[in-house]
Amino acid sequence: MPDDSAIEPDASRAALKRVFRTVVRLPFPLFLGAFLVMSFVFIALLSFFWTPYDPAAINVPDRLLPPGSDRYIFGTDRLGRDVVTQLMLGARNSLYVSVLSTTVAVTIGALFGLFVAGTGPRWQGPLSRIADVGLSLPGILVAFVLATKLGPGNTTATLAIIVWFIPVAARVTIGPATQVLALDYVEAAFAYGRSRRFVLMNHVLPNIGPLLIVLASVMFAAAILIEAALSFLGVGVQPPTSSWGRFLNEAQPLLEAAPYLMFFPGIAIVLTVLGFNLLGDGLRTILDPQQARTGIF
Amino acid sequence: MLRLISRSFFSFVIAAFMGSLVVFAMTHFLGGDVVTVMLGKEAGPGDVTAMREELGLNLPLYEQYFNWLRGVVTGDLGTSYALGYDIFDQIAIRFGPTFMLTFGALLVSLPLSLALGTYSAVNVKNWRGSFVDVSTQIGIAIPSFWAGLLLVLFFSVRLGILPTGRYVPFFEDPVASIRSVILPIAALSLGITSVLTRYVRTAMIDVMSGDFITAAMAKGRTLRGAALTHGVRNASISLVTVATLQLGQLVAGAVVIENVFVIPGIGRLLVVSTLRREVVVVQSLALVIMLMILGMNFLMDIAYGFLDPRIRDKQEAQRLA
Amino acid sequence: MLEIRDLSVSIGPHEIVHIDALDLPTGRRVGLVGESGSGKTMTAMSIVGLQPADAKVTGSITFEGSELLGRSETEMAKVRGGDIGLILQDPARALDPMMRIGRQVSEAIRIHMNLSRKEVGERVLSLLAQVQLPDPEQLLRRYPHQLSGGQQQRVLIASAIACDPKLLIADEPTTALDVTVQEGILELLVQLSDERGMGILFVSHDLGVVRFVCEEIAVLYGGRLVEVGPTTAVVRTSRHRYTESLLAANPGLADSHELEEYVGRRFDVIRGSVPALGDFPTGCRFRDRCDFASDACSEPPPTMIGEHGHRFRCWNPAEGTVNAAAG
Repeated sequence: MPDDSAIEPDASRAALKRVFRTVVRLPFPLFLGAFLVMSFVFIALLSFFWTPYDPAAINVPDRLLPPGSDRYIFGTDRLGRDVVTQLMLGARNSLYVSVLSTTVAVTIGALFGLFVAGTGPRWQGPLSRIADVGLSLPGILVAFVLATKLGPGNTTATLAIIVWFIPVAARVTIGPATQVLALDYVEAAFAYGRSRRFVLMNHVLPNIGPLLIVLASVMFAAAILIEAALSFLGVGVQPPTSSWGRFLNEAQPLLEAAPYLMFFPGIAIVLTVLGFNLLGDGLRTILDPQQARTGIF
Repeated sequence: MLRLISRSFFSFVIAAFMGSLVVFAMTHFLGGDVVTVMLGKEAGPGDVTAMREELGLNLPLYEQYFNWLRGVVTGDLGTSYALGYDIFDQIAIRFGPTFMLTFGALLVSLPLSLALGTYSAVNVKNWRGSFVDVSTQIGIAIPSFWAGLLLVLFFSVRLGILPTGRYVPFFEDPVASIRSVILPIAALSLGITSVLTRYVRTAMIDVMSGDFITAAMAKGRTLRGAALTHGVRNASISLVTVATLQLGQLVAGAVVIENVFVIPGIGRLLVVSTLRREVVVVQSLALVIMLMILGMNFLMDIAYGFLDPRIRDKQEAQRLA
Repeated sequence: MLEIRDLSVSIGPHEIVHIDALDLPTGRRVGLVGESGSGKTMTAMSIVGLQPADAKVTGSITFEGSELLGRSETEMAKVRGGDIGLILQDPARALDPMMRIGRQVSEAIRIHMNLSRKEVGERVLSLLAQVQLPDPEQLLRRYPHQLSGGQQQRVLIASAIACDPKLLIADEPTTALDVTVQEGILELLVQLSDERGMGILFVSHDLGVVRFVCEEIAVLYGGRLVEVGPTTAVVRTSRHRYTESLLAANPGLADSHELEEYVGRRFDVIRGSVPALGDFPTGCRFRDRCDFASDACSEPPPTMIGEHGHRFRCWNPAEGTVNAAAG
């Protein structure tokens, strides 16, 4: 009997080589974006299982140690908490808020957009106008009104972002969805007697799928920035929850004494947002190079 | 041209009304009961009833809405529950700083992004263009409040050039006033300029491959000369359009920056009031901010009319054709 | 005045254009004819340095004795609009929509000539009148979108001749215009050329239009000159098979009394289509679409000289009898 096991390692090695080659050939920005995003997700998820120091540990004697000190690579904050741990927890929070808000907003928004596109030219105008009103009212106001009524907190911030993003997702979906509906084979599906709902879900949705992925990527980035801003202002997460924005807020009074506290969370935000932006841009170039570059936000 | 102005003004009014409805609806329907929110959970029933009377919450909704709108015009928007100040007065006082910040950022970012975007487009093949491209890519990832903190650290703390201290109103001392807002405006402009520069770059690259650029070169211009004399004018029109879309983000940034630099503007009051759960104040603040944005929108529309002769002459062209 | 020798334009590995020799005497109107993809626009653009950035140009193009190729961009910019004028295809797109007509027409003047503002203004008015545009003073302040296609093209012509160029290169100047308007533009071009002693290099795919304007015709296929000669010779006694089929497919401008001759006639079509850049056959490039191709055609055909400077390159040329299609 020939030894089959000798074939398998070669086959899998060849497959691995192929994947490696495809990845390495990706345009650099896309590659960098993917790398940054994956690092971010990894660190955020890792924080559930392991952090260098106990997240809740307050160690006042060790407060305000600069980076490069003995046991603390990035130093400690005013309560003696390890900066690296705080950064990881902040990542976790950002991930949570951005994933939750983006998925909900894109789902609801895209569904609404599909619905509007499906209503045909007569109703599309006025309905799009409604979505536009939502767009014109700045999301920041929504966030603050919500925070006033509901009280500050992570949930409020997430909810605010969702309400902010839904009109955007709807607006972005309507145009392309309408275009797809006008395609010949989609009209043919109607002729076969397919219900509008069926066509929308099974023909239009897969077609605009890539567009929605790009949109989601950009929204992730925006959500992270918004959450950071709200937390910085005190309207987002409340102690003891950690957030990069809150971290910066606490670093502000210590600007002169401990400037390093301000660098790390800021750089973390920049790298993560940059990663998502690059990823979104790169995906857009791959998935639809002809799509006009219009600003969504 | 006059038709354009009146049409834009009409849209402004309509949008303002619709926006006010949305603000009103949000304040009253989202989240809990207004009074409970303001007084806190421990409030006694007597206090609650008294406040409801005082705020007119027992009146039918449409009446509350109209009273509120009327208050905007007559100057009576109530008083702050927590601190007792007159809301209308505070808004009036704080309008100046916020306007200076937002308008200042706009004044800086529009020409700057036009210049940088054009430079980047003309240099698209060499490292200069790529440098701008990379810089703006990073620029849009930087949160404005972090930029503000960095600027303060660098300019005020380390170099001691610009003051960290209080905002100075413009009419009190113009020079000191401008000095006090340079850093905030810089921080606010960073994000907007980055976004707009990227847009101008794309628009200019498009324009430069257009036929009229080649035609200009046929008359004796170099590529750079043609881009500058013809391309920029055309790209600036798209710039104004895109900038209009960014107004919401600009104001959002202003709110944050006011809190970083403690500028006594509307944004600062907004955050403070939100944290104090002052629903009445926030409602009016939201309206004012929205009106600001719509107002700037309106100005942009007019600017667009000045720049693009096609819009202006639409009816005249139809006459001639 | 303009002498092209051994001009070669390549993009990447493909040589798009190769012209061994082409002359434009002063004041003469020469047509460059070919289908789309024949390289005629590329040739015209290369003369003034407006070829695509990735195109490589070698050879020699001398204008009034001095070499044009290899000059820097600034030097070429001096020639363009000054000594050599250029008219592009679509007038609507060639005009800056944001700039007033007067300013656009005066652009070349302001670049090349040192005139006072008043002199510039007067010159512009005179130019607009010369291209037979009505009400020049009013027109100065108009914007392009307020003009009709024909008017826009006249404005472009005015801009191109603003500095009294010795050579005008016109690339499909009437293709984007209505048929009714075309004749007026063409007559204008002929008139201007006669009045000013200005040469015209008229690039077009429309043999009928070229026939109307030009005294000499050069036929281009696949970037190669296949036939050059005086208009009457090329049209009535065309020798190259491509020219022959081009004429059969494209009989010419309809005059009123010739119209009856066209009604009911079959227009022949050249079989096949222009191959993509890398797909031209060796030897004579027209070989695969030619009804008269022979084995000899796999070698590049030699230049044969006919009468009156009528040159062509074909192994199996037409007899030289009068062309029925030419009328």
